[in-house]
Amino acid sequence: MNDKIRRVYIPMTETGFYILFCLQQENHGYGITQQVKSMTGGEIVISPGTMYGSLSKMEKDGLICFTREEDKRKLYQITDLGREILDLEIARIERLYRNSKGEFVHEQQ
Amino acid sequence: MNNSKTIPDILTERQIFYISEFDVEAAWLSFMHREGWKMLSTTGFKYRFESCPKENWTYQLDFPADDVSEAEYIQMYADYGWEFVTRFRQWYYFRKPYSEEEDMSIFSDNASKIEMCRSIIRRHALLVTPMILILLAYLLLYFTTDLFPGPGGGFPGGFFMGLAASAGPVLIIAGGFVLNQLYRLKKMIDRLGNPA
Repeated sequence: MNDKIRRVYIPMTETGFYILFCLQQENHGYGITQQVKSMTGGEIVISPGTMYGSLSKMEKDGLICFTREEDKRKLYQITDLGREILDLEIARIERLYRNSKGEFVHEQQ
Repeated sequence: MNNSKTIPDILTERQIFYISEFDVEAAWLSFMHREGWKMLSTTGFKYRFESCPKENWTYQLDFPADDVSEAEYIQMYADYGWEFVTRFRQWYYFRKPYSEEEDMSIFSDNASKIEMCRSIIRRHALLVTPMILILLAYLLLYFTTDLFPGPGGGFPGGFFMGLAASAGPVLIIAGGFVLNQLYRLKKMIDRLGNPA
């Protein structure tokens, strides 16, 4: 994987994480906001400027791709590169979580 | 029986906001709407308004990076309840009725607002750099070569000398002005990146 992409996206912003996570299934901007809102009990509400900017950037960097258009709404889905980044980020969050509970993470061979 | 009510009044206001003042500009537009004037359009110096009920609407400006497929972009804002007002260059104006329960910013995190400031800087630097280079090249060529007719009466000589004489001040004033604006944006980025 491109080291630059990795350094830009890991650690990810909360917004970036939720967008990428939701795009494991095809969706459009507002649909993602709705999904994140319900997943987080209304705690995370992504605004349109943030959504538009994040989608454009992630598409440009190849983490997600445009799939089709429906009623003037662009639908996106995660790419293989996006999947790789998401997996790395999830592993990082799991480590953070375990450490926050006082657990130690042992080196894996 | 007359219904003059159906023809709204039009108001034109002169106002200048610099590129680093998009939040101030948005606040002013919201204020105008509360005073009963909703925005129609802008030329960057002049703002046109139409009379409307005095209501609390929030205005926001976006500066999307690169080329936007406009229909989809405006549709996305509409999905979130933002009405597209107008566009001036790469600035897009949106408004939405104010609500206390909602976040009334089009940016829900600082990272994306920083990204917008960066694209403003990039775009303006791209516009200004060639201008500065052309002026500098002209000054250099004028004073070090015989490419342009020298001073000494008549149209061509006087014209080229005038151009050379004004290029310096233009460089300093316009260049300084733009650099100052970009510096302010840079400071805004620093503030957003490290909230005190």
